[in-house]
Amino acid sequence: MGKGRKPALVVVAALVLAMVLCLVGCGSTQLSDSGQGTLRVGVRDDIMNFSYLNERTGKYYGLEVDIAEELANRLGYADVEFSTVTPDDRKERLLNGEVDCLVACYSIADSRLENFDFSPAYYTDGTRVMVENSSMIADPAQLGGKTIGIMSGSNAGPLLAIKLNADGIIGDNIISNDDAGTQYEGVYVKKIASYAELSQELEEGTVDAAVMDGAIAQGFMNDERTLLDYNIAEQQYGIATQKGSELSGRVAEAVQGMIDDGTIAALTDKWN
Amino acid sequence: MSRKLKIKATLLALFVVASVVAMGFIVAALQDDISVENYTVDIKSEMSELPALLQAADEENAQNTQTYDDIYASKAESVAFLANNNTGYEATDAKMQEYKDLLSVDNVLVVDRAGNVVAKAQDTPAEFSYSRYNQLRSVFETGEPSEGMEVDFAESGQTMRYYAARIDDNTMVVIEQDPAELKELLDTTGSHESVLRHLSVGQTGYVMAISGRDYTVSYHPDEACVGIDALDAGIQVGDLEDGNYKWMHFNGERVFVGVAEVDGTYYLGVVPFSEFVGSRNLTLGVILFIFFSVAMIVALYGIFVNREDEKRGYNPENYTNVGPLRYNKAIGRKAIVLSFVGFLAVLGVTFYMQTLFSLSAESVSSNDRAADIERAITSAREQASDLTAQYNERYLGKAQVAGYALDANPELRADEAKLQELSDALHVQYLFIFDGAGVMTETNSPYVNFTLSDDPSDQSYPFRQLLQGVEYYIQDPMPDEVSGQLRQYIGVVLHNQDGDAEGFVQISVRSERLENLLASVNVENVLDGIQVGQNGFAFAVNKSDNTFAYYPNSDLAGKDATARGMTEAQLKDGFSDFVTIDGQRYYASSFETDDYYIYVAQPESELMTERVPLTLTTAFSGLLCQIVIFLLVTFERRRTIAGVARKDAEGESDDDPRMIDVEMPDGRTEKTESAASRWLYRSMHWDEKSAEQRVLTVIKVLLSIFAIVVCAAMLFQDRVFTSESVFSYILAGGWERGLNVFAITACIMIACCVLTITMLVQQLLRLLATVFGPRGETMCRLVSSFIKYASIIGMVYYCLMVIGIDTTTLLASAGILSIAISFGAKELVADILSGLFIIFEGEFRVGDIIAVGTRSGTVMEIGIRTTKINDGNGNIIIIRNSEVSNVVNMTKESSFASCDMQIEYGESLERVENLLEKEFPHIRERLTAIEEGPFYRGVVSLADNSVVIRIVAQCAESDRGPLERDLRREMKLIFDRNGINIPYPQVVVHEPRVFQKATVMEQRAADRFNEEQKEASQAILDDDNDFDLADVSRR
Repeated sequence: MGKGRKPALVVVAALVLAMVLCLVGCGSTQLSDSGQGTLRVGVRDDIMNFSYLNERTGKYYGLEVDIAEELANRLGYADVEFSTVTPDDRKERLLNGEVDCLVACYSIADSRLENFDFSPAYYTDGTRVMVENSSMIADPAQLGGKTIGIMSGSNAGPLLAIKLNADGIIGDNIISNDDAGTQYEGVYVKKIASYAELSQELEEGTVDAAVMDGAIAQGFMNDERTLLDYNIAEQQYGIATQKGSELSGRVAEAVQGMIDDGTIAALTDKWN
Repeated sequence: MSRKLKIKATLLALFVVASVVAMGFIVAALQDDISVENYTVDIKSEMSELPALLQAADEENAQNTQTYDDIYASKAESVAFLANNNTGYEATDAKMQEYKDLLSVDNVLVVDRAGNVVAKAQDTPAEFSYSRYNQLRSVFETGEPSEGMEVDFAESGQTMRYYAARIDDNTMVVIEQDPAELKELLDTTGSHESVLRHLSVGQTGYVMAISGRDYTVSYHPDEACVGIDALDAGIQVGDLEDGNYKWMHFNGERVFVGVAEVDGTYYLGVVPFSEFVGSRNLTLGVILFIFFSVAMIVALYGIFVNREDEKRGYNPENYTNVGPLRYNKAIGRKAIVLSFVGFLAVLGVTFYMQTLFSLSAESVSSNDRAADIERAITSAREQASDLTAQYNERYLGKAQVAGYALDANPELRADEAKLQELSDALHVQYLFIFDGAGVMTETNSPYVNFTLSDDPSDQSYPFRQLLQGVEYYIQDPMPDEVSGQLRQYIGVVLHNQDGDAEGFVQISVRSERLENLLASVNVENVLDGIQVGQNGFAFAVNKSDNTFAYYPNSDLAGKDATARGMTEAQLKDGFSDFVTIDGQRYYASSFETDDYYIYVAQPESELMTERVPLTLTTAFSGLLCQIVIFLLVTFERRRTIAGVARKDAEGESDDDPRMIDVEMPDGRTEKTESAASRWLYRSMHWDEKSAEQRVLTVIKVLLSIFAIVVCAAMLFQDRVFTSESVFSYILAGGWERGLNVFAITACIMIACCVLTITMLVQQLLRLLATVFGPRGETMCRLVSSFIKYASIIGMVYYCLMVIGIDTTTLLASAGILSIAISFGAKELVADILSGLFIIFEGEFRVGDIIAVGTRSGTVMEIGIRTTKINDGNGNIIIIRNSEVSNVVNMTKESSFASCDMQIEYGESLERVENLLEKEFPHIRERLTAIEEGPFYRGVVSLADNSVVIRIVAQCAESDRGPLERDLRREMKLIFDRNGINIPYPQVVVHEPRVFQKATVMEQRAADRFNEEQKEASQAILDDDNDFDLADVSRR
């Protein structure tokens, strides 16, 4: 090899190095704009097809997980950190800033809008009543006098009461209300810690019916159960962020973008 | 090697490697494509069957559950019947305990309308007041027994099924039963697992199920995989779409997957990549090896010739100029032959390998399928017998409940309406009451006036034993004489108030379930709908009369199989080969059941679809590569003629050239190995070889490598081949003996193995020969040639057997044959025997100098049939061993050269002798070959014209010839110098002279003399003819 080639090589190497440095530099400035490299997302760990935690790998799968990842991508985050939230603690965790946003089958409700900002809805679901076939309840009217189970912390309870009241199955008054349940005039709504327990209580008969969102109910259906043809309320799931945070607008914009360009529809189809 | 040639060689090598690599990719891709296509079709056909199979399984489950529920509902009803018919019922725990034992259930309870437990056999986890149990309470409204309902109790980990029957307006009886037995039945017979377990894709492929709800694996043949997260295992959720066929990863393994979605569950037909590779790599390896060999041989030939030309100089006649290039005709002629033969070889081998692999794949899958069917039939049989036993027990239970009710309230025995009620509660068709004499007293059936038969051959006869103290009798289900329906009778003894036997109650049941099951074991039902590959199917042949018991084309059913193209030899267990049915060839595998031979058949045409395009593509690309190599080899840049003059510049320096030119019959000049060098064990030096010989050596090496690889693969087959591999299949010998591709492959493999071993043994003997000297050499050569013949004969014999020639008849005919041969081949036998004697008696050995008759020389080899002698001039004399007689073994320490000289009679012998004495030392000096001497041996004879003297000298045997010639020369020179004449015939011409006539007197005197002499010599006898003998006996 001729001696003249060595300096040329050095020049090339220097050029390459310079380019790489430039790229790295560009990348870091871009990230520093958003303040942090990781989007912390609160998701559920027990809702199949929406967000389900595989305990063996510690990974989450589902529609909401994909949406969160796409969202982080669009917002320019380098990484997404998922953590499990439950209906009981999700409110606090978001308020305390432990997570940046909630993508956790969290339906957009007026009461919640007081505390949080919501993105446009990415999924529309209905709240449903599930009964055992052997209880021979086929008509919402038969729910009168029965015990109905809900997941504590979910907004299914109030919605159910409103619906039952509107249909004349229960009276206007709330007789008692505590952590264990609410005694309406006509039905007792029992609050149960988890959906799995709720399902088990339905199985053993301690509750006569269980009320939950359709997406969740699908996970607990079997041949011996029926979803009553009785839509209590339409639920619209949105991404919740802290009230007035700078993230809110960008999240809403990104979600709207995903809805507009068909990403949401494609993901929904994928997980269906 | 010149720089130009080096460049050319490098170019060629690069091209050969590149084309092998390219070829590898092309063939691999093609084969993958075809495999993917085949597997797609295979998976599709499996998947199209799947919904029906799953539905059938679901129906089976529903039926089993229904049957189970019926039985327990009937138990609940029985209790209700007992409660309402004055049989000692009371709502106490003790009574419930009694019922629990009678009915053999887990728990019997009496529950009131509100759900309070009134009486119970044991505690229950259920809280009947919950609306969860509303279904049980429905008995109060309908009066009918409730359907079964099942509750899981998480806390106690129990699962219970509940059945209720109404006792009165306020109470009902509830039967609580752990449905473990039902679950087990459902799992084994009707679960999706049991369906999927029987599905297979390709040879090692399988069907797995993934829940559409949580993406966990709900079924996988490997238990360890059940329950894992499919997404976690590598499946992409987006790929799980109905009708998706693509490559995926599962558990770190590359798999080809076809997806079908049925009822929210994804069913995946999975073929592991290893199966693709397994069937592909070996085919690919063999094809590439052949391709590589051919390309290399042509390329090397070109290089060898070029190299030779470089050494020996160029012959302009061999070249034709084509533009700036020139074409080497000498190479071209042979290269084109090599290329063409190589092309044919690649074509043939590809076709052969494809045939082999498609056939073996089909054959293995047919065998697998046959095994599956066999298993299915066996398991259905077992299931039927299990089920029969189970039903017997259940029906006996019913009969015992009837017995209990009738014992507790004897009045019922005479009440037809009550009997009807009881039989309804028990869910049996009819009840018959017999008295102690075997006469039927009451029944709810239309049959009346029946008495048990006395004839042992009658169906009712065995029930007589119930009158003689036997507690119960269960008769096997039998087809009803009138309707042909399967019906079963069970009898249980009745007792009077004192507890003594008094007649019996008999129930009559009809189990459609059992009937269906027994029918499903029927061969038609088992084989119907079986699909193998794309158009394969199963059929059955009756063992007894060789008729088709089942054939998809119903026209053939019942027809004689042998009349439709099958042969007797094909009607057997474990058959695996082609059969012809109605003119259509199928590849079929068989197994036997008690009554049938069952075949799994696939049409031949289907097997072979993939081999044609692949063969053609391989051959075409092979041809392209050959052409390029050919061009590279034969054309070169035109160069100056400078090199031409160098012809023979490098002289033939070899003193013993082993390569010589010969003229072939057609006038061509070829190089060949000299006779003397052929039987030397010493291999020729590479440089001495001609280009053709080098190519031959290369071919030999390649073949040896091939043979050794095959042999090694056979020896270590467990490690080399997977169990699904075609070679394992071939080595296992499951195929039919006959002229088919498997037998031929087996023959090739055996040949490779035998040849390799023979080669090794021969090499070993050769090594041994160098250790043990001439005797060892002789023995080793003999053993080596014996091994050669024995292994070849053994191999041929074995291969004939493999190909399906009946070797026992061959052996028998060999007896006759040997007689026939012994006439024709007696010389051969004589040769072989002589050979053996030569060796064992040690007449001579390799390296000895012998004379056989007039021929003499050094022994090169003592073979089984011939002995080869080198006469010292490089000529090899081949003598048949039987003709080796009058052997003079001249191998001794030293020999004598002798020289006879003739001297004129007139010469003084003493003068000659003095002269010799003087000259001998000089001769000794000049002729170095003389070890001792020369010696003067005196006068050998007094011949007609001369005195013959002899001179001898001691020397090595090999020097004898030349020395004798030298001695004669010396003697002549000495005689010349000293004026000693050697007599030679001379013609002396004399003047003619006139002879005088005899006088009369002289004539008389002569006559007289003659007479006198005759008389005088009469007495003397000339025994030895001594007078006539001239001294010529010794020369």
